[in-house]
Amino acid sequence: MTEPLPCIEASDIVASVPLGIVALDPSGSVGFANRAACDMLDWKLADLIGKNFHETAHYRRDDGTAYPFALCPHAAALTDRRPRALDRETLWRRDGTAVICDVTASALAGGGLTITLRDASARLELARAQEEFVGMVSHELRTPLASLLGALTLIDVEGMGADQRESLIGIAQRNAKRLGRLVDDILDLEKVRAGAVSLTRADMTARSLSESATDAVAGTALAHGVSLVIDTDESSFWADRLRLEQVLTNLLDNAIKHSPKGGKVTLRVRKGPDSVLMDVIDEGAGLAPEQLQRVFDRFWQEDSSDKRVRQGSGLGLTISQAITELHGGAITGSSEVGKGMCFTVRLPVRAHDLKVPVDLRSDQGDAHDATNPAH
Amino acid sequence: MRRILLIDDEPDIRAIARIAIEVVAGWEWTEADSGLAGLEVARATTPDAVLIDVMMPGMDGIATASAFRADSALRELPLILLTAKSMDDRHEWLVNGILPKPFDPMTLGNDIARILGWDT
Repeated sequence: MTEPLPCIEASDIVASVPLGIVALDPSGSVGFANRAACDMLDWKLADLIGKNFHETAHYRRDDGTAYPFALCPHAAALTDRRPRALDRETLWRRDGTAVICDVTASALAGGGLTITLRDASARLELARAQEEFVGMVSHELRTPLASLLGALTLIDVEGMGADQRESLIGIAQRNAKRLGRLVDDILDLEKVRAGAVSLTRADMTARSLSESATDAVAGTALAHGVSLVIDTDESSFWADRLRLEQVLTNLLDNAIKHSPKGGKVTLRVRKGPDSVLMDVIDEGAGLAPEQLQRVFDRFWQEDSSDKRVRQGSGLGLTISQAITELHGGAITGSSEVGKGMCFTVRLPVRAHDLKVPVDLRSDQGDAHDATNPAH
Repeated sequence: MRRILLIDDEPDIRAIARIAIEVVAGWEWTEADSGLAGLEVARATTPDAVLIDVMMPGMDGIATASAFRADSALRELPLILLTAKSMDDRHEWLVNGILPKPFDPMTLGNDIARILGWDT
């Protein structure tokens, strides 16, 4: 059998694990607690030692009613010395707030128990968020599905005018497309978030990227009577062109739909020393700070009677954010009510990504040339 | 001849329900795209029943139904909530009935008549 390394003390291991560990004597009083346990329960070790653990941190049930020690499985475990596991058990901090933990109890060799505490709040929060997401997805999918099915159900009813039948066909087509967009966006977002998307980076100029992104939304801009302005420098950089176009197209589309008729949407691209900044600026109504905080949330759409705005999937900005983060960048939004919105995509430019225009290269003796034999 | 008012923010749902009421059930139709507009339309047209979608931005269906009940001229109107969520059962006390969403446009008239005890 391998000897333990002499420099490692068992007590150091116990102290360092991110799992709350509390040792109880045969009466149920605390004989030891590691740092994670003290942090979780907000006690100092010196104050906790000697206190009955149940009466200190386990004295009420999750509904707030009294929880006598005699009824606690840990009291039974002290007697029968069999292990216990309690999932999502409510414990109480020193200040009386609750902390939800997965708790185990196992018998100590010399009598008493070892209790472990694993904070379950992150897991519960995740489960809650997933449940909320499923609820939102089902609402978002059911709404167009209901219109689609309703229209198709009615389409061959007797006694209807040609214009009514035509409007039903329009409803069916429109909602089938909306469903398709939603499904695409949901799957795309999940792929990006799961990291199942790899970026295909290539060299591109800011100008050609800006032009293809604005071309993609030119029809929408025309339909809304909004003019598009490109304001870009002559830089080039290294990124996934299709994905970046998707980000800019989403932002431009969003800006157009929030613009007044006759308004202007500007795409501005500038390369700084270590990053590329892309601003999409509109002249719409803007957002209040509390709304701005939520714009990247899945399916968040401001309360609006303006149907142009609610045509989207509610996922465009979330997807844009995920793609930008995949590039190691970030999107931020800034706004003032009544003064429009500005979304800024900031992409980091690594040293070897820097492409210096040909006419400057000889002057600067570009050191990056060596890493880039293509030039 | 019955007259139905639907309050729903989704224009496509209104268009479908309109055909279900006018063509399939053979009744009269009025509509509104928000709770506030719905109260106005109800005052002007005195419908025999008001269908109210629960999920609306701003003033939702519950707030709209409460506003009908709080208005001395409108409080007697039969109200039916349209909802996709079974948990909205807890608002049953506020309205005359609840219709699950999506509704079947072929039976919408019959479903309303059944809930309100109308002869068909």
